[in-house]
Amino acid sequence: MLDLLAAARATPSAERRALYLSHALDEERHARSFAARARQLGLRDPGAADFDDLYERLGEVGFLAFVHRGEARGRAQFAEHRRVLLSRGDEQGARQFEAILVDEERHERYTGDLLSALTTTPRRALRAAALRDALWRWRRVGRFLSGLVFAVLASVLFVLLLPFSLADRLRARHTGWRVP
Amino acid sequence: MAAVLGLSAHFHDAAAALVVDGEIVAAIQEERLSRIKHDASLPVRAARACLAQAGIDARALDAVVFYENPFGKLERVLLSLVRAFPRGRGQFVNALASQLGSKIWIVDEIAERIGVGRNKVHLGDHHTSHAASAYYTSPYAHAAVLTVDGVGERTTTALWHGRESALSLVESIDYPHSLGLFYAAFTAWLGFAVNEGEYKVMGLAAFGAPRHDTEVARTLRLDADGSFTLDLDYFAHTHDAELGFSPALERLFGARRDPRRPWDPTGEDRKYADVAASVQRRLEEALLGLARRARARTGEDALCLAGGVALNAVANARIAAEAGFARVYVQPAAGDAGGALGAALMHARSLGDPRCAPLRDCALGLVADGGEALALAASLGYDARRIDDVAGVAADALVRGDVVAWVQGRFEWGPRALGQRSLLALPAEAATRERLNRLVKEREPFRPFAPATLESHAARWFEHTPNDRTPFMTTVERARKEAVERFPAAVHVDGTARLQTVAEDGALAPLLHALEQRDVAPVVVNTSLNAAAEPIVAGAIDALALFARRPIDLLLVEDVEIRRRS
Repeated sequence: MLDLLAAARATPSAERRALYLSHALDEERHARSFAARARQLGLRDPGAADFDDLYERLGEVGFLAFVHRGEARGRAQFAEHRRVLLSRGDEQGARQFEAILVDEERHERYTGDLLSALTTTPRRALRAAALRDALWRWRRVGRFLSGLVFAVLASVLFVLLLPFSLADRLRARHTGWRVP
Repeated sequence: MAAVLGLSAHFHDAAAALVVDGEIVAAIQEERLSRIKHDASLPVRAARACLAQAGIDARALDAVVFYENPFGKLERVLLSLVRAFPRGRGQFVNALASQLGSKIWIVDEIAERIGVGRNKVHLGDHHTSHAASAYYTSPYAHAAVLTVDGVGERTTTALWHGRESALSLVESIDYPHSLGLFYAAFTAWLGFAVNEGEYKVMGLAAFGAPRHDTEVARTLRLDADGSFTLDLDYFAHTHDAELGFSPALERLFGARRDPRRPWDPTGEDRKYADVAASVQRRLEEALLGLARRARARTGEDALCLAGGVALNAVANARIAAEAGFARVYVQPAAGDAGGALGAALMHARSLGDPRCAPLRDCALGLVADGGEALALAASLGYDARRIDDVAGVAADALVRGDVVAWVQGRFEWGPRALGQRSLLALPAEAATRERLNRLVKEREPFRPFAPATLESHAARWFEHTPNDRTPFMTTVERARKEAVERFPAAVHVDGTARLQTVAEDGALAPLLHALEQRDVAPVVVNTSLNAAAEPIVAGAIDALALFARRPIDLLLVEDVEIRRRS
């Protein structure tokens, strides 16, 4: 939602501004509906939305390609969720996805239309978005692994603090006012 | 004569403030533009917006000043963890990652992302920035200055003396003894988010009775010289910044409150409200001790306050009433955001620029675009039109019982809505509070709303004498009996209100006069224009996004009136 709002603020077109804002409002409505369902089922709140500053980082065409791919992926996933919930007899859950699917299809359609209107090479933009997606996933894995290595090294370093800690305990502690 | 940009970032509430030739041109919190509540990232958007407001390029800046010294902070964090050993391994790993990953590279980051030479980037000092933000924007030529927060580099509390253009440190109290962290620990124990829920503790305290004074006093010792000492057995901030309190605190007061449970401060949660009342009282006593010390050490009649703890409006009221100062001023963005302003002002002074004019209002942000609101509203299917009499239309709507979203002029600096980005209603019905809390703001039912009225009328309904705090909503005042009866939605359960007084040229003055012309008392509930966990609205898009999602009856963006189609 935050990325869509940022896009609405940044786009030079009044028409696209309204589309992005409407889309953001839909996403917020979906998030609230999921949060309400989570509460109903005694699950944890899904939490706040992320903000990746996609419009500024990718430009409008890149942003639209990213959103279009996300909507297509979301539509496919939600259709599958609806099918599974129906097969389990959870009609309320299936209805929730049914309602959201209508929006997802609209979002996928309008972002696709805009992409075609804004660039003569929409397929290339989508391929670039797919490549970027893969790169970001790779980086996430890299960050996770380097985080683990850092945590191990920092933990070893922490143990080496022991003598400094023992030495520090011999020092008196100052409380109250300190004059410069 | 110089152009100096002050920045705060990388902890919470990042902000940028631009001072040109000594005067404040713009001051903006990053969260308003990024739309991420308490956004701590380097305030690049806010910086650009400040520069655009002044019509200058980053290359024209004489200096960019970061509000604190990250190396001083790193030293304190490491020393503190050495002392806490073997506790705090997790904190050590996180702190090292955060300090080495970004904070100590701040000079390079600023140079690269703001677009200035590295030689123009300077590091300030956390509490000096706070002190400068309060003293230099105050109306006083001489004053004592107190800065009180969680912690800066190593200082948690500092007493300063301001004389004309000079600001000098008198004495200070060091980490780990901190009033901000004392309050934060209890904020967490009560189930609120630290650095966000402290003002909820203050609101909750009014529902309780201070029945736990003795226990709370064991956690925070107050000394005769105004200083204080935490009993660190009850706190965990030296080795666990997330939680802040230790198992000993839970043994003393019982288990922490489950944040998922709905609030009932007069029933099941009575005990938590009582503890909040005792914690609030202890904080007030500690601050009174500090303020009396400040008066004794400086001999000044005026006091300036800054630092996150200075946002405690209830404590500020007691300081003003009991500490012996004739005048007390609180910098309205007293938290870390305000450090950006202080850093810029301090550096501008060091370059020989004159002291800025006293802060009269907080409209230091950006204007919302009425034309954009008009076009967007039409696209979203709302009735929207330009009008001549904005105040009259708002007054008519309020008289009908509507909730009005009011977006006028440049948005405010600091956490309070002061008539530029406000949600307004008449305070005559107690149910208005319930409606605003539950449906519009989606927040705890015990949270109070503040009234705004004309300065000329304030004494009729509140125990009010003109002062330097009510224009910025940084204090509370006792409501008179008539106000308690007539404005139940704007008076808290303890009979006080965080009053805003509006000058004749204030943003809300035309509306308050329009109410008067309609034989309605010129008092409105004035709360910030935002939903729960969201920053206050900045531009037209944010305003419409909020209007679309919440049951607000009327949105006024500059001279554009927006309503839902019936």
